[in-house]
Amino acid sequence: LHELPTLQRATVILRHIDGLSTKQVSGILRCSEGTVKTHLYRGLKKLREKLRFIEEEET
Amino acid sequence: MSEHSNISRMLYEYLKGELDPDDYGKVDEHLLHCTRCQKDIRELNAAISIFRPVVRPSEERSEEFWNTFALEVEQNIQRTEQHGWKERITETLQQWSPTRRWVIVGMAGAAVTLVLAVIASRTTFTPGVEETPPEVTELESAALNIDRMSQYFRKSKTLLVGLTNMKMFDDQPVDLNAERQASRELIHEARYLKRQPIDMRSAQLINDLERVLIELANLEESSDIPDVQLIRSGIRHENLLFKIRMAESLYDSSRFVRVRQEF
Repeated sequence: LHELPTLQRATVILRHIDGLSTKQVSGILRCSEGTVKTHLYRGLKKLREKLRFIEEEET
Repeated sequence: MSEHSNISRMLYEYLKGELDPDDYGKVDEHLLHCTRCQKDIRELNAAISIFRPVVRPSEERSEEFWNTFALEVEQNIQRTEQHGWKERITETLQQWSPTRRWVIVGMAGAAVTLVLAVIASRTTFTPGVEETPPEVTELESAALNIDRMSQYFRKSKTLLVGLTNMKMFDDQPVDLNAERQASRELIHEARYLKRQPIDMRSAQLINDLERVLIELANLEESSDIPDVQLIRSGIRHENLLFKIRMAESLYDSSRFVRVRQEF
């Protein structure tokens, strides 16, 4: 998680782990709901890529 | 914005079942012919499943319950602080049943007698012999640790409350120099406290606090709002302020059972 850019990390933690709504996250981070969705999508995708990289290294 | 970008931003809510009813049809139709989004949705699903849901004990009760509970504890602490130690003991004794009262008083009397005997055996008066400086007893050492623990929690609470209530303005970085310095000092103190014999709950709280303090200490001197918000989120996530309040009340009340040397 620490390897994600700040805004993507913040969005993943607040939206997915803490379970806040898109509207709440946009209020906290002071950006639009669309921006929150974009950061979340990119953050989760990047996370998945990094984990797949680790899995491939281990096999 | 293209239809594809629009659909990509909806995929998370689609997987979580949080979309508006009209949008499900749009996403389903798009997924029928877009192989990129089909791949994306598989990736997203895999990423989401990494984080297993954790049911925190605090979530088993409602938020209202915990707010009321914290308030009652706070009021209780204030009430006991207003009375002197004699009135407090009298009040507590009156709340107990007579049998329990006598058992506890008897045990306290036995404990006091034992401590007196220990002190007496260590301070035997021998005329004409030079007195050597007394070593720090285990009781004194424990008392010092209680004081340091209490101070550590008080300072941590002050730092975290200040951070939580800090005003921030758009497009202006936040100056956290004082907070970083304070967190470094508290990390140093935490390392000392962890080497002392302390109860498991306090040790766990120190570990939880240390994670947040380390994150704060490692921030840039002038930080962006998202970094501060992350730390605030960490404080909330761990219920740190509530746990610190509980620990403070424990260490403040433990002072009353500490035996003083004047005895």
